[in-house]
Amino acid sequence: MRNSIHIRSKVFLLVGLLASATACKKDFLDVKPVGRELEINYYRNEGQAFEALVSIYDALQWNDQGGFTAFRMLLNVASDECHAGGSDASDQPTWVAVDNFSVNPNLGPQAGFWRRNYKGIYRANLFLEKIQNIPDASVAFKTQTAAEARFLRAKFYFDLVRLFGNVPLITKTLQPSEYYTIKQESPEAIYNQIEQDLLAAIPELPLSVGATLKGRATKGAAQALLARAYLYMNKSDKMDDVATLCEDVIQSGVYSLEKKYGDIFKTSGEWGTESVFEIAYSENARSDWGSWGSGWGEGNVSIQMVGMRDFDGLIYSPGWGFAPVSETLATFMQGDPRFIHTIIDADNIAGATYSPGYQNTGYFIRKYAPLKENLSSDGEPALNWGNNVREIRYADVLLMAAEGLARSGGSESKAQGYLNDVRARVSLPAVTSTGNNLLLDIYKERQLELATEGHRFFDLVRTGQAATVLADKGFVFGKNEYLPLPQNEIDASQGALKQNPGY
Amino acid sequence: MIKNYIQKLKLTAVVGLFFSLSAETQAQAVAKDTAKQDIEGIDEVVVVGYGTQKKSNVTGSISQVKAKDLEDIPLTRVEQALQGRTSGVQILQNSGQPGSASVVRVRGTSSINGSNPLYVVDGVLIAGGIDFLNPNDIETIEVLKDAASAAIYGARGANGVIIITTKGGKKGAMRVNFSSYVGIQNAWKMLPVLKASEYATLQNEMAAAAGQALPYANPRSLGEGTDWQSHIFNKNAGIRNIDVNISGSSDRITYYASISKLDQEGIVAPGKSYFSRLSARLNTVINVNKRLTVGWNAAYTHNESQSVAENTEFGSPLGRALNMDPITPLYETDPSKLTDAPYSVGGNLRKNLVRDGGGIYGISSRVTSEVLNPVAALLTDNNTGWSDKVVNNTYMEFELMKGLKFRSNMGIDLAFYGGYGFRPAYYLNGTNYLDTNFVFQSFNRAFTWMWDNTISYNKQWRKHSIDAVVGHTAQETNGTYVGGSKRDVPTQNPDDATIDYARNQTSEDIYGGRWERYAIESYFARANYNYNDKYLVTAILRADASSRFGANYRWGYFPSISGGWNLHNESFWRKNRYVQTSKVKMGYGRSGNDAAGSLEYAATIVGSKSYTFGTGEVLTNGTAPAQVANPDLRWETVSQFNIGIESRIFKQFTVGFDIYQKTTTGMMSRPVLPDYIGNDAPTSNVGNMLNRGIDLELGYNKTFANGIVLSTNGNISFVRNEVVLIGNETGFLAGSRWGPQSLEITRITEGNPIGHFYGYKTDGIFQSMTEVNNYKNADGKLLQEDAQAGDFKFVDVNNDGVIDEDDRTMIGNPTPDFIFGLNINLKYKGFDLLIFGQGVYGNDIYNATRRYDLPSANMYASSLNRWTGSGTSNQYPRLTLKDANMNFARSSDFYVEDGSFFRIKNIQIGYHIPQKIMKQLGISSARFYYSGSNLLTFTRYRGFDPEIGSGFGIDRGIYPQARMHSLGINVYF
Repeated sequence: MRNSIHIRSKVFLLVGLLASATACKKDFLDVKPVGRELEINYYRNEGQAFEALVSIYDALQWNDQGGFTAFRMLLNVASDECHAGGSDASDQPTWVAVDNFSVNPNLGPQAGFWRRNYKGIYRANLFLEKIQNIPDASVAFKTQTAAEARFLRAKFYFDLVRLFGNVPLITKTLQPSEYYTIKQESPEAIYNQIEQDLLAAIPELPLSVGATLKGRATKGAAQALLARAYLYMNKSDKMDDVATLCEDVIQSGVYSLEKKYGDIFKTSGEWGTESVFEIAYSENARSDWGSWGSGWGEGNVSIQMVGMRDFDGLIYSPGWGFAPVSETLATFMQGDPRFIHTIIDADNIAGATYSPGYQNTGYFIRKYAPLKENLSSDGEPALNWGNNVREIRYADVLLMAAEGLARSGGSESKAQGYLNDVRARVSLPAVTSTGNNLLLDIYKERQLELATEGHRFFDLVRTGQAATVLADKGFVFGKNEYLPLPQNEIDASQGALKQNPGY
Repeated sequence: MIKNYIQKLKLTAVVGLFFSLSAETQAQAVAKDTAKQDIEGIDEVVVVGYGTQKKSNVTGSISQVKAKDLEDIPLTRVEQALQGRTSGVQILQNSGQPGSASVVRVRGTSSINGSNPLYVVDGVLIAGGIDFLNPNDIETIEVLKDAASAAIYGARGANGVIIITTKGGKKGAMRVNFSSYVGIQNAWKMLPVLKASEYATLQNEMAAAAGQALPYANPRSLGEGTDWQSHIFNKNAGIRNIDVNISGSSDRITYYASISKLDQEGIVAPGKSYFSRLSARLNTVINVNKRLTVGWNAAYTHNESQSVAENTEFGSPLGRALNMDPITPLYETDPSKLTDAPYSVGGNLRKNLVRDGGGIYGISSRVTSEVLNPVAALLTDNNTGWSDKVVNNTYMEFELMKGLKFRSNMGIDLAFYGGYGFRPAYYLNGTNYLDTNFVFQSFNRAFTWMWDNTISYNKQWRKHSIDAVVGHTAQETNGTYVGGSKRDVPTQNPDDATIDYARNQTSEDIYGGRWERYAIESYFARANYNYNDKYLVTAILRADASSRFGANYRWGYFPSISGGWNLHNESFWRKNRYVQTSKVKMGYGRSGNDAAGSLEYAATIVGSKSYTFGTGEVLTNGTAPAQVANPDLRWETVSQFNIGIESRIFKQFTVGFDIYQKTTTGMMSRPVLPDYIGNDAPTSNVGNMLNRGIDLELGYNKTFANGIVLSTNGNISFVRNEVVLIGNETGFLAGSRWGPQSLEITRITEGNPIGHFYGYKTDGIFQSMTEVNNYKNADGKLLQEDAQAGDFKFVDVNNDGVIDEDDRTMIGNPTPDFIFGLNINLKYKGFDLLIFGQGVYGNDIYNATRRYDLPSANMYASSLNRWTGSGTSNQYPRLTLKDANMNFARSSDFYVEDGSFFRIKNIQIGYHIPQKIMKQLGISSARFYYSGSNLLTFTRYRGFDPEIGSGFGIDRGIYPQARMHSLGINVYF
């Protein structure tokens, strides 16, 4: 019995000790992040700020939001340059709808475009709010990166305004109380914001960046983007500015035309002398289908899309047969020295075969074709094409300068000079036309020089030719200049957003 | 009679006092009770979480399955033990792939965020699967179905709790048990697909309808072609299990030791699909002295498996076998073809063609994308998974004074798992090839400890009895992972390939990290009060704090109260012929679900928002907030109200009836924000769900005069599931998608059952152009301008005069109206017969097995009955390459089939060798048996198998259950 009491007291003691020992420490339930940071502890130094800046650039290259939404390829499809293609009519209904202008609020690439640009804008807004208060960063760093964020925000708004017209203008991160008080603004107001951002960015951006920094925004890129925005605004009193901005870029001495036209789209032509602004993709990121749609991928799937289906032969890697080049463009470019660098004549490649897909013409895009030599050896090949998109080329700047001069009543000889610089590179005779004929020659040159680079559709829209040129594709004047707003977005906005006319 | 009965109850109650709260001694209690159980079976004990209770005094809704119900059934996983055996629990095996898990739903799907029940094995809450358990080691399985009983597990009890108690040593002499079975498994069904000549005929028809040139000049000459299914199924796949256990007790020690080994081949993909498990267990209880007991349960399991892709439209062996054209040969033997595309390029044979002793595998020149030669593709797929798991609990229990006990229990769940594999260089078609081989490997460790300290108290005075427990528990989970891959290994032999063997030392990809900690701290209390075995009351309160929530709502409180009334113990109860016993019970309680991820309440900055800079293409990391913060994130709460009756009627019948309502509130989901906000909404408690149902169990046991012993039981459960509130503006959550076009085929919408199928309704087929032209809206405009005779007539569901996306609606429901199980046991002299069946009724299956986006993919034989002219078909539309009406490219009820089935899961015929013979050999009992699994399946579903656990009732090429014949032996020494 004594022994038993002894044990009992021992156990009571043990119970007491256990109760106090196991009562958990105060921080037992507090989780420390692993492999990530809490926002409240972030944005403290240049390194972190730079990573935040990179995330804005990231949104530029997404083409996986809301399905296959490769921006420039879809613009090619919307124009008279390309058809939808694919395996059959049901392959990518979105592409077919863009091709024949049957896009409706539920069908089309709009959700992807909308989301990509607004995510980019959010990141830029967040950056601009944080950058001034980062304790451990130099003034020079803050100034340049803020200018880059403004440049990128302008780029996102430019894409939004030309795609959708009336869009919400958001220049700060929204608080929950503001989520549903948003209103759409007129295109003028959006362009005004673009102009403000770019005018603020231009003086703060470097003329050029070192080899390891290629891809970062430069002064030339911002000036060229503003020139392009002015052209799209279509106001005659801005044509002067177009010319001034472009001539500034031309006189900066940073850029020149690539000697051989065919070299521009080679891998060696990336970040070349002609590249004013380029959107970068990587073949080393091991993107896979698992992260498809998340924006994590870094490859350029549009390259895979436009390849010839089941291609078996030299040089090219097989693709999925999208955006086959139209007979119209092939005929138009017949005889132009740039044809072979622009269009693949698939039926006449010796010793090679491919499967004709939907709307096959036998012609395919050459500038962004999947080449065997570019095939990624890491990850899912289709999702890891590293081909950069030449967003703004110096040739485009020259042609914009010419157009600005021609439309503002500026020097016609200078305009001819810029136009002829572009023509001389491919050994075409100089143009001597004047007046409206000169303008028409500039437009024609744009079509030849920039074919399948995603310019044609908006060039047609902004010059008032879309309704006639695209009539047989189903283009409706007063409607198809813009995409419909995504229906889901209208629903989610709780009535804050109004649909575009005609949809 | 009643007097005796009450006497007996009292006796058991007293006996019950001596049983501790430990799961192990419970097991003994169960064993003891089982041993002396009378046919009325009312003295059984059930495990209720941190304790046990007499079954007759349980006021919650708890089902029990015992070892004797499972003996000798060739189960490979624990979930199968419950399948069809208890009401209110729906279990569907994910697939027939060896080692495949099951989807377990206790009383319906209670959340959109994971509705898996909590598993508790010998008091240890198991994280990450229970495939470590050897089904032979199980003594009992209890399912806590209602909140009144599950509340003791608080925040993790919302989806029901499955408590598994493993066997313990039994009082008495040592017993040695040897059991083993061997069997063969086969597919029970092949699907009729087109033969080569039929395929070519229909391909021609499709081309002709689209005005294109005919691809096949002479379809007839092509004959039968390749039967891909016959090449992909494994004939007579083997299964073998050996199990040895020794149990018994000495003065102070009881023990149970078991060793087992299972090897199972899959019925698909010979050599590439198998599962093996090695398990060892030692359960020991030591009575140190009168007051102190210590014990431990230690289990170690090693699993190894190889599995093939299944239930995906993007390249599973079965999907390929169904979609591959029958013209392509298994091996291409024609030399003239080998010199041409796709086998050769520029006149030279490609170097990475897949080949073996039979030659070079055929490559289709017709079907593309992921539809590859299934046999060749399998040869390039080498992927082995393994796991080593230790589950251990050690406890000390001390009786402080009569009826008052203190117990401290440490549970450990330690798992190592990973995989390794090799992809040789191959060329399977123009888009599926690999020029440089690569090898990969991964390694993970997950560790959970939990420490329970409880004090329990038991007291009887006069007619009162009280039984209470209070406790504290803390738990923590950690994990680490690492893995990598490398290219260019100088071998094509998967067994020989390792990362270190790779030649290209620069092409490496490594990854690794640690999990964020997951911690839980809880306090709980339960009191059972019982007056004279007539009136029963149980009250539970548990408080849980989870690291998954922020400080605002870290603690959750989960109370429950339930009561019961044993009518037959009342003095007014008259003994009668009809009703022998009757208990009514009622309960209400709350439990929770902490299905959030780590730090979801906070705004975190995440990487992988990268961009490439510079001529050197340097991938530069970018970061952005993953979401907006939500410091108010809290538990999902499940409130459940239950009323039930348990009765014995007409002496031989037992009846259990429960009716319940289960309401889930604060379901976590990310509300859909407008995209212009630019970032995702945080996880928030926004949704509600409702499950209502009836569970019915019926048993019949009788020993006939001629010596036949019959025992049967059946159960049927009805559940109605409704998503009450989604909590976003659109009123729906996107569900599953299908194919490269990402067709939306399921949705979660308010007012409908979870995950219903979604698409267009069809109303037959236009038999003529007149019918097309007569299908007009109020304004006289054609509803289907692009349609032709032979196309589907789609229904204008919303009556707006246009057929468009808004006409998509609910076209089927994967949740059954009811599920049922039936068990018949017959014994006569040494012979026994067991028949066990299970079924579901009223659910639909979305048959997504054919790639309709690839017109050249092979078709089911049903396409032979397509529409070919007026009156030929009203179900299967015409075939054309120009499907302008989108007959196949739209998700519609065309793809939805009745998924009801009844399956004879198991039939067993056994024979006990007479004792007289055995005694002389020193054997106490020996039984030989034949067992047949999945022998018969009654269903109208046309796919491989209607039992589809994974993927919300969508069949993308499920790996079907095997039909198995096995012979076994079970000997006790």
